[in-house]
This record gives sequence, structure tokens and C-alpha cells, in this order.
Amino acid sequence: MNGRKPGPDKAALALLDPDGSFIERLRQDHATLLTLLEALGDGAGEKEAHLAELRRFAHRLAGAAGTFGHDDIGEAAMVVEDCLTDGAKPLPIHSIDTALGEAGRLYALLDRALKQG
Amino acid sequence: MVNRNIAAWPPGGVPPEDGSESFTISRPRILIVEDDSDISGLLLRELATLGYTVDRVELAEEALLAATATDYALLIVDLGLPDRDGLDLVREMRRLLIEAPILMLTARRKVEDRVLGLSSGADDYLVKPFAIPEFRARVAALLRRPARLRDNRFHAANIVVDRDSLEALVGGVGLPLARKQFQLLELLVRRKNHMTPKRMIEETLYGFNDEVSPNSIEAHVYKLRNILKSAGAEATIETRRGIGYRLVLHGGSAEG
Repeated sequence: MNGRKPGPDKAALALLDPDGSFIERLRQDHATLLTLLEALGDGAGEKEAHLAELRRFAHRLAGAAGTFGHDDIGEAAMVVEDCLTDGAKPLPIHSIDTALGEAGRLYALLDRALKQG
Repeated sequence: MVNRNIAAWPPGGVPPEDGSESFTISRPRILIVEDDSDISGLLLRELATLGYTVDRVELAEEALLAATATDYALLIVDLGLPDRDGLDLVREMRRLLIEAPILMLTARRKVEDRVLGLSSGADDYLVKPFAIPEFRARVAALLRRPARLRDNRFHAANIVVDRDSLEALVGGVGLPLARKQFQLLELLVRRKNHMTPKRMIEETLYGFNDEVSPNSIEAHVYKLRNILKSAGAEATIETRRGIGYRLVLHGGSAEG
């Protein structure tokens, strides 16, 4: 364990997100991430485009999740983004593999957050 | 009223009646430029709770329209906008002489990104994720910073507008102004000798959701012009048809 909070403090979240719209956003992000991972796993279509989309997705989630108290999700999203922001083009295989592994971990964290409500 | 893509809070803006009630000074108005609705919604709630009037847009082009038409006290700009890079937007705003302080929001964490943001014309930089108390503190600091926001007395010839006492004076004598007339005079005095677009006046006097009748600005100007003339003001409101209005100081006035 790394000591990070598994999710936001309930009282704090009630102030940050009084109408619960952020948890709904996480639900949509959960589905979006699954779609992206499946597309990348299939190897079909534009792999570069899917990776760029995954990077944008992780970038947005990294900024929002931490602000709403989901530190673990925010930090996992940052790791995904960093793996996909390697200066080299095309991205090295090991960076892509690491990013996909971290994206899988991010998906698990989203899953857990949704189950915890 | 002006831009349907701008969401404003509180809805309805200032009370609609002019003259019958005691007026209050308008609250500082802040523009949020952020395409992540969760983040912008959170900021909007926080700022509204603190008593600010808040407008929210998602696109850089909408932000430019709003910021050129409205005298904002603060602009909060996300760097990752869908239609344009936020750095470009900030540079463009400065090129257009939009002087309001700018707080940049971004998820870019590198030092060089922050330096680039500040050198493009932003006044401060907040990295996402951020804690709300830090956001509040930075907003408060930026609103305190410019001298022009601390100076609440504006002069033009023998006209003085005092935002603290809510008084307008000509030659030291108070003017009997209704709320919107006061706001109009303040705007014209602050922009003395510069053309003030009619649209900017509308944005200052009305909330985005207020209905504005076609001749309401003309009516306010007409009444204010007569009040200034009767009081012996050494300045006149000049009309540029189809463009706007300008407070022109008379020849003997030293300032410009």
C-alpha cells in the first residue's frame, strides 16, 4: 500500500459535489476507458489515434479526480498520461505496455470507486 | 442577452427595477473559461458562495467575446481548451488590452509549463488537482493585487464617482442618480475620452439573463446627460451612433 486515500472523505465530497454529478462522470469515464482498452486490445483501427485519445482522457481525469478528492484515481491517471507523453515518436513499445498496464489499474480504481458510491 | 453560450450565476443578475430601491454596488464579475463542466461547476459554486457574479464559457472564442464586452475583475482560464490553446488565448487577450488579472488552470505540472504560462500574460497559475482553499486564496490575492481595484474613486474633470460611498459628485455636490445611472456614469468616467461600446454598457448594467429593451441604454444615457448638464459637469456624453458613447472632457479640463 502507498498510504493514499482510497476515495474522498464523504463530508468533503458532499461540499465539493453536492448533486453527485462527479460520480456520474466517473461512471461515464469507466465506460469510456473500457471502450478504449478494448479497442487497443483488439489491435484494430488506428492504434496511434487510440493512444492519443487515452492520453487526453487520462489528462482530463488526472486534473478533475484529484480535485474532487479521488487522489488514487487522479494519480493513476497521471501515470498513464506520463507514460504516453514520452518525447519519442512513435512511442516505444515498453512505454505503451506500461501505459496499458497502468490504464488497467486505473480501470480497477474507477470500478472500486463506483462500487463504493 | 448577449451570448447564449455564456452561463451566468446568480441567474437573473441584478434586480431589474431602476431607481425606486436603494442600490448596491455591483459585485465583482469573474469569467471561468473551462471545458470540463465538473471543474467549472465546482469553481462556479465556490465563487458564487463567496459573493462573486460568475460567467462560464467552454471555448476560447466565447471567452474572447465575453472578455472584450465585459469589464471582468478576474479571468480564470484553463490551458487545455477544445478550440484553441489557452496560452494563445491569454496572449490574444493581452494583445486586445484586456487587463483583468488571469489565473491559469492546468494539469501540466512541469516548471517550464508554468513559466511559459506566466510569461504569456497570466498573473498566477494553479495546477490541477488543486485544493479549494488554495483556489479561494489565489482568487482573493489576485483581486487584491491591481491598484486600480483598490482605488475606488474615479475622476473626470469635476466629476467624481466614489464606489465606496456610492456617491457621484459634480463640483463637490452629490448627484441624484438611480442605480443604473450610477453604474453607467462610473463606467464612462473610468473610460473617459475612450469610446465605450453599447454592448459593454449592457453587460455592465444587466445580467446575461436580463431582458433589455431596445432603447433602454439610450434612455439611461439621455437622463444621465441631462443630470450632468444641470449639475454643471465639465464633461459631456458624446454619442457615436451605432457604436457607443464617450465621456468627453470640456476644453478647459486639464486631464485627459
